[in-house]
Amino acid sequence: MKVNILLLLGLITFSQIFALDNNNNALDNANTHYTEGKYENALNLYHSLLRQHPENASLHYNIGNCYYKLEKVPLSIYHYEKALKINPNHEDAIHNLQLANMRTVDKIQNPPTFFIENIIKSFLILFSYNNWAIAGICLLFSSVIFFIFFLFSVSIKIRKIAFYLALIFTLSGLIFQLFAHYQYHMIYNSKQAILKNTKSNILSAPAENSKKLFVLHEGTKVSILKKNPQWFYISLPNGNKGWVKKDALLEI
Amino acid sequence: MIKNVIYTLLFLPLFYKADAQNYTFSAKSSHSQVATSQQFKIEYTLNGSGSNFTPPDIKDFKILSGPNQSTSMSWVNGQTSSAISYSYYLLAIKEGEFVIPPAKIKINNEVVESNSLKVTVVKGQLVPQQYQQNQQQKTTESNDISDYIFIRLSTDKNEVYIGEPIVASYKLYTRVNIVDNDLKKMPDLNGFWSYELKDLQDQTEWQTEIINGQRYNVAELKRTLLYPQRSGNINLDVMEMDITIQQRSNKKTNNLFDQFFGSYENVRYNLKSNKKSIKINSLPEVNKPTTFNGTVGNFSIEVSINKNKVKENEAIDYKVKVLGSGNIKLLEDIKPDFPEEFEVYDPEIKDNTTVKNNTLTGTREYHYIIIPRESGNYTINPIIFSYFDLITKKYKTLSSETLQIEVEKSNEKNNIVSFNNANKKDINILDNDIRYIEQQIIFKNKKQFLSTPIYFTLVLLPFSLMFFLFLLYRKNIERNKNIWDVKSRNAGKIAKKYLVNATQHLQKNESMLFYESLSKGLFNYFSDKLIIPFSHLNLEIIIEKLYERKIDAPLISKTQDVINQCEMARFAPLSTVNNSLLLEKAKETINEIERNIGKA
Repeated sequence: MKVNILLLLGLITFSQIFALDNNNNALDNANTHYTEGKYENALNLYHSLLRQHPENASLHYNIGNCYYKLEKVPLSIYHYEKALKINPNHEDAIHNLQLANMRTVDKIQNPPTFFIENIIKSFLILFSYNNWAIAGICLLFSSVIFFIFFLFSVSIKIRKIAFYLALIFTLSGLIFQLFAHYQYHMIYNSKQAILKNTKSNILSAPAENSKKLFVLHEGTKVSILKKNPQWFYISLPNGNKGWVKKDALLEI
Repeated sequence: MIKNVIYTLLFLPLFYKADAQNYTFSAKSSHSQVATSQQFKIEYTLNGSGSNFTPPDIKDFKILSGPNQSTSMSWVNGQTSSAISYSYYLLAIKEGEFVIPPAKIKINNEVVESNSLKVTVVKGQLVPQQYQQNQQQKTTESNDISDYIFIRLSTDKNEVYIGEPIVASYKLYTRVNIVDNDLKKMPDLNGFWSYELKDLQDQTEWQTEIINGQRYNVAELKRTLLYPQRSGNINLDVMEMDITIQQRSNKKTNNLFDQFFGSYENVRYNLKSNKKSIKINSLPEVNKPTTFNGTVGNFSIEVSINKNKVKENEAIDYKVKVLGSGNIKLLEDIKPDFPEEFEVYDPEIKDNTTVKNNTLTGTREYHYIIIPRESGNYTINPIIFSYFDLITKKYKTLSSETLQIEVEKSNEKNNIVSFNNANKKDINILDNDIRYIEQQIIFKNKKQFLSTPIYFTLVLLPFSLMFFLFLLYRKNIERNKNIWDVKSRNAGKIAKKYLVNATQHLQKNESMLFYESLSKGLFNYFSDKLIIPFSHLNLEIIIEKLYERKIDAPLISKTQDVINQCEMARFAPLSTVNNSLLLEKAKETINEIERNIGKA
């Protein structure tokens, strides 16, 4: 019995090591294809890796590069956006996304963002949401220690200091939790999409024969406000809204 | 005519006397001999009244106007006489002798003929062709408005080279009174570089012109000098204008005034000029010089500098002057070949052009300011300038003279304000490309931590810990409080025990022990009763606490007295204190306090 368990454990670890090794081989292969300019092949390999690790920013970034080289700008934008969603600090992805966005047709003026919002956002992406959560929890536990001092210390001075420290640590611990959840929300709940068709009509109602409001071109990023089985209600950064067919979009 | 009338009037009584029924209907010509293209007037005069004037059949002359009818009336000695005259203005067209047949008029149901007129036409000026051909058309007046008023676009050439000037002119021809006009559309003239010679803003001058035997008032609305910019057939645009004219009304009115003078109404018409297609030939490719960049016309070029011997960092004025006719305003920039040691500023361009012989003529000057930064002898290469000559239909290349500049070393070497700082070069961004792929990827499946049960437990744990600790704290306080309560309740009993002990010691005459137990009993009692920790216990606190409990002042002073005496006896044994009395006093005090606090 004992031997069996040991064998099983050994098998599991071995298979894991083997799988990892396999991954690295595939990655090396893909990289070579990319360097040789065989972007189609590289793309296939990266995609097969992505199926095993769907939340890997670097893989999305590499796939985005392949699509860019294959002149499929909307798909490259989609994957760069994906990569940045998982890792908002991916500098190369930011750079390449800018280049890809320069090749899109629609020029949409982004409304100026409030500078405090920018500061908070850039502060938020300093750590991943998990790290924020862990840091916050550490603060909460240290506030417990201060609380003990506050309750049971004889000296009034120590009790005072301990009280304020406990208060500050509790509040900041909670704020860190908020940061973590906000970042998580930004990544997973804010519905954005990239238009993949060369030309998409944005209509006034979710029906084929409704009025055409405006036309968007491939690679434009939109926010999804509402969903129907067939149609999505989208908005642009400049405030324009309308309905578009579901299959014209790639949800990030 | 007036003369005739006066004449008639003067002699009217004579005629009248001689024959009352005698009417004279006579024709008269202003000239018996005219030259071709000369105007003259014929007049038919009737003294008396008549009707149904039948005009003569005038074939050999052109009628410029007529018949113009005029009537005159006079009363002399109660006698009324009237005269009617019909006059024509005629234009002699052909040479020869012509007879104008008589005109007829009806007087009192009798048709009277005038005399015929004989006119000799001699050779004069040439008669415009159209009069001779279209003589018959003149009588039948077309009702089409375009005959009366129209806009005509004309150009001086129909086929040109790129860059060859054309003059396009839009003219308004009219034979009617224009009441109002409103420009609808100015021609766009796409494909041309245009130079306005005359625009609508300019004052219009009316001239007369005769077309198809009709006299028109002509005004030029727009005259533009056009330089074609591309080859092919290019249409000159239509000019559109809304025009209101006065027209004789066809409506029958009952208004007497209108019947007499005829009624007029304002009619608005939309006029459009004709279109015209211009064939624009591209310039020949044969022998096209490499320096040619589209200049067409006839030019010469001059280059000059204001000084040819300067010191370092001294500015030189370098001037290029292009003279000639052609489109000077469209000249491409001339880029002289300056030595690299010269700092060159963007040129100032001055144009001075006028229109001569339907083409732009004048000069263009390029003023360069150049500053030699290093000493030496320099040559400025000649400027090569090519153009297409429209007269010879060939390309010509001009070359300016070579200029020599001697630059001497400057003493104030240190004061150089160099604008081309050092030899550092900015990194030229040649092209943009995406960044390279990531070659090392760590495959680890990110473990979700946020919002997992472990996460929630870990967040809630500190708070539950704090809550638990707080409960613990509260319980502790509660318990402590209970202990004191019990102590306070039992204070009397414990005090009694001490007092009993003290009584025993008194009986045994152990005064030292007696005081000790008495004082212990008292202090313990107050410590327990008033909830004062033993460590803090002293007389002042006891008094204070008693005041807090609102004990009567005599009792407090009594308590103070007892404790003082007890202490004194304890630490100063020589004092004469009645022990049993003290004991009694202590007992009394405790009892009284017990009663008082119990009440409270």
